[in-house]
Amino acid sequence: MILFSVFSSIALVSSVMVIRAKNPVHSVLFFILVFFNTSGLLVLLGLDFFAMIFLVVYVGAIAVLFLFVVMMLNIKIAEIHENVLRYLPVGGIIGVIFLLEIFFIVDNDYIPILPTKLSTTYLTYTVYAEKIQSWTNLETLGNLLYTTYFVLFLVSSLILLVAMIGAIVLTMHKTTQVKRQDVFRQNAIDFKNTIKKIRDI
Amino acid sequence: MELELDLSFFYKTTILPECVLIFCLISILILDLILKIKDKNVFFFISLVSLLLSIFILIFQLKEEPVISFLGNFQADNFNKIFRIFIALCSILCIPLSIDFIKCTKLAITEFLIFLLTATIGGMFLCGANDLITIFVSLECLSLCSYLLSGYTKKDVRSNEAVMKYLLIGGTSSSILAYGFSWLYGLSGGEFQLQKIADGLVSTEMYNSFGSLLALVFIIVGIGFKLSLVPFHQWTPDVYEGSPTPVVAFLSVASKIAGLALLVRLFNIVFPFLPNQWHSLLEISAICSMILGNLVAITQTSMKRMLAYSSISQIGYLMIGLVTGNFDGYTSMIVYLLFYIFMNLGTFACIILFGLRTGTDNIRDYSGLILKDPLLTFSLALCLLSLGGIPPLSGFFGKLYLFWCAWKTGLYFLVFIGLFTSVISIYYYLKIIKLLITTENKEVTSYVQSYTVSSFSLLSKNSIEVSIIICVIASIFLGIFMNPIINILQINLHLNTFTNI
Repeated sequence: MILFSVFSSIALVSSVMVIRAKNPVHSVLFFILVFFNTSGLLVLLGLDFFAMIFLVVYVGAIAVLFLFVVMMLNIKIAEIHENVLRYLPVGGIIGVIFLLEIFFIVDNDYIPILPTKLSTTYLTYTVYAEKIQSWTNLETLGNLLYTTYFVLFLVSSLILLVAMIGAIVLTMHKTTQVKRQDVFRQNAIDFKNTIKKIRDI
Repeated sequence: MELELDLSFFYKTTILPECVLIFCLISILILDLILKIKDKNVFFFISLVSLLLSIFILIFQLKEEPVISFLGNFQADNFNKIFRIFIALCSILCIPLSIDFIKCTKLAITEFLIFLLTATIGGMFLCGANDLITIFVSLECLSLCSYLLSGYTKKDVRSNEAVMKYLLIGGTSSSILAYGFSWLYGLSGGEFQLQKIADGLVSTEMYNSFGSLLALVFIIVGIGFKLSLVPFHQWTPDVYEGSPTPVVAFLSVASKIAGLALLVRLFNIVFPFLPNQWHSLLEISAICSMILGNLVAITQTSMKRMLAYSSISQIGYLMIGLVTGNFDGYTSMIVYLLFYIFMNLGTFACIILFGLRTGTDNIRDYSGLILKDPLLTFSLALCLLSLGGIPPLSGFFGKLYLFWCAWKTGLYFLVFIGLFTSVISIYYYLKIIKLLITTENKEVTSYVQSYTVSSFSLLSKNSIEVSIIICVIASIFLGIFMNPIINILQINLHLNTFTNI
């Protein structure tokens, strides 16, 4: 419980810092800190595999990519914190709406101080961890992915394939005018043949 | 666990059409990698054959009983199968349109085909999706391919702008949709299959609450962006103007079919308790789409923008069938959708041909086209008239049946708006036709002067002309055979789970 509070409070503070940081690089670093704390929360829930995947995918790939992008774009720091209060009205309204929506669900089950009339009987849930005690996370995941959620697995693999091809198609510029070095061809050139050719001329 | 394995293998024929397409896609990819084929027409041939094959499989499967396969992830009933046939049909008609376009613009052909096929697969999965995760994943599959396709001409600045707008708007709408889904998931007590959500909403006594209304609104907003219904239509003209024209032709039809199938299934299965709410919300947006789409289309100068607004108004007409909400209403919607595929793709095919030969899509530049190419003028005029709904053509019969069904259920105001806006739409379609036909002003634009016609022998027809001819013939004569079509549809839809309410 103490660990939960530590992880979640650090995550909350650093996610505020993501928005408030003046330097975008600091912002991305705080972002990575959020991910670390969230994966700590996942470990507390007993989802060790997901925690590791979370770290590998988000911290290892996405956040570092962000960091590179931010460093390459060379954004001027002064421009960013110029208009802090400009978006406050719109953002504030949206924030208040989202907060109100949370209060539709939250009742004294979560926060004991809140007075509420709603009965909590409708919150039925299954504790899946009890059902699959004999299996580890990985086994469960594998079993589900290749049987029950086979269609989802298929479609998401298609999405990944298309995303990969699309990224290559959109970024590759193959111009024919530029002279390139073809490594394999250059290595395969025979010394004698080259000399011979020039002698013939 | 044994039992689950058996079940998932037992139902494998339900996604056989999609599997054919996936196999074709991978084989195209590998063949292009391994063999150095110079003549890329082989790939078009492979993809057309596989699309035809999947359509035939679907047609054969129409006789089967509706099954829910993969433990509830995928439902195959006749309603879905008809929509899946339609999506495959669109890609069959769109692939010939893109052959010459890609050859002229010297883009990579194989990747274009792969994106198009993946979009088709995503749309087909979306039509049959039976739980929230499948819906979201296949919707993303469809939209990711749409983004990539609309930014395919990467050297074109307008295309870049279009894909940027499309990506941002699409991402926003997807997140709104996912938020609505999360409300449904929470309110139903952690269910994500559509039928179980409805049961869960009953058992938690939340089916009439504010929360489920909120979920409904979020889902309508999310799908409305995809369908370009009126309050959420702003991206449509820009994306249509910037994207490559064959892609626009595909997007304007395929995404609408998939979105409509999703809308019908989702609302009929999950929200049977709030019929008044979702009917009235959709009615408002249908009225707005018809009025705004048709009125703004009058003032457009670009042909593609005009067709974008025209497609907004057409989705309004299709919504009438959905709002009607009974068996006849859905049948009329499907019939009009079938006609709409042919009319719209025919129009786009003519525009692609004109654009390839002259390099412009301004309405003004079309004047006096009849002097150069009477055949193209004739087909464009017929398709436009059919879109507008002039009597002997199929668009008229489709609209007539649609309005008649709505009138029977007492949606008088909606029918009145539909009729009124049809008149407006006929006005601006006729304006273009007048421009095409009139030869009074002798100064033919330079674009039309540079127009060169290929020889008129049947053998040298290019692929665009083939699909123009198919579309024109379909949009003329399908209307006459409307009664058999309706009968076939009604017999097939009869086995369905929700339309016989």
